[in-house]
Amino acid sequence: MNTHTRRLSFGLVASIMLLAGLTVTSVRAQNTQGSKEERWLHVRVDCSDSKGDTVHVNVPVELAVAVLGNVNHENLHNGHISVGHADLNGTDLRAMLKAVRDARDGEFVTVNSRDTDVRVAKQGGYLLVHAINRHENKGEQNVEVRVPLTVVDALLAPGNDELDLVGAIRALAASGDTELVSVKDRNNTVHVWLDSKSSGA
Amino acid sequence: MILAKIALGLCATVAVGTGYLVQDGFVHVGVDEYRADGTHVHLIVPAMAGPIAAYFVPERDLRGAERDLRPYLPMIREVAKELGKLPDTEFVEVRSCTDHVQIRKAGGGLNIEVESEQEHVRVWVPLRAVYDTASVFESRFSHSD
Repeated sequence: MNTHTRRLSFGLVASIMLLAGLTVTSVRAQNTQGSKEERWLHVRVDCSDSKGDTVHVNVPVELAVAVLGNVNHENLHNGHISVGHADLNGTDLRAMLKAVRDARDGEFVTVNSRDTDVRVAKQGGYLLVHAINRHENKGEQNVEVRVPLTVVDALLAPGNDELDLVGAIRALAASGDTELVSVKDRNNTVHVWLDSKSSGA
Repeated sequence: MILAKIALGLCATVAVGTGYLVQDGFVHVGVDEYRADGTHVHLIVPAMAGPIAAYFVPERDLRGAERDLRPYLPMIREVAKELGKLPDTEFVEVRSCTDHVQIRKAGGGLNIEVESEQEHVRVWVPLRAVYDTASVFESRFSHSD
């Protein structure tokens, strides 16, 4: 074997090895790409004051499920949170929510005062909370919360002493595109919503 | 002729070793301070160093870290796995008049970037390396039970 052939062999072997390494990397990267439609939870905070701060958070629902399902710390285990010692002032939360779920659509609570208006209603499978707070300095703050009742059901599914957070998130993901929380005042807007887009634009 | 064969073997070993080390990409860390005598640090480390280091951490030191580290390993592993399935996207963006923080997935890794008036910090970690490192630690903890 002459020098030229040996050099050629070295180059060939080295190239094949590097190519093999890169191919393995490429195949592994392709295998990790998912194809099913993701559901995303978005949070957007915009401040319209002089600082103009903005916060955008986009969390895939499956990621939230993976995180919560794998935390085993204090009251949170495998996606279930223990509320056995929670003080609800003698209120049977489960019975109350079951009564709301079984009731017909309508307005359950209406409070009107000088500083605050609150309305709690059930409509089209959603529990709706609408509150208006009036501040002398800050102006009017408008808060709207929409919770699908399927989420409440999933949350309460495990039993009296536990809440199923993972189940609630899965139920939320299955409830379609929806705006969950909206807060507006003179300087700030906060939106929390769910859809299938990865960007919260 | 024997020398040529040894050289061929060495080349092949180096090539395979290089391929193995770079298969998970590289961890990038960059820090640039904007002041006149500011620090400029740019580190590029093969991501495979993470799992390899996790494998060779002495047993005594591993025991010390177990209580703090072990409860979070399954979560870290699953987060890395789930993030790996997603397309490149932005998870968090915080913008104020002085600071800009971004956490996003880019090119199979997690990219964290902080830009302020004083400095620019950028960290890019391949998700595969995070998954492998967490898995190695988990395996070592479970074997030592």
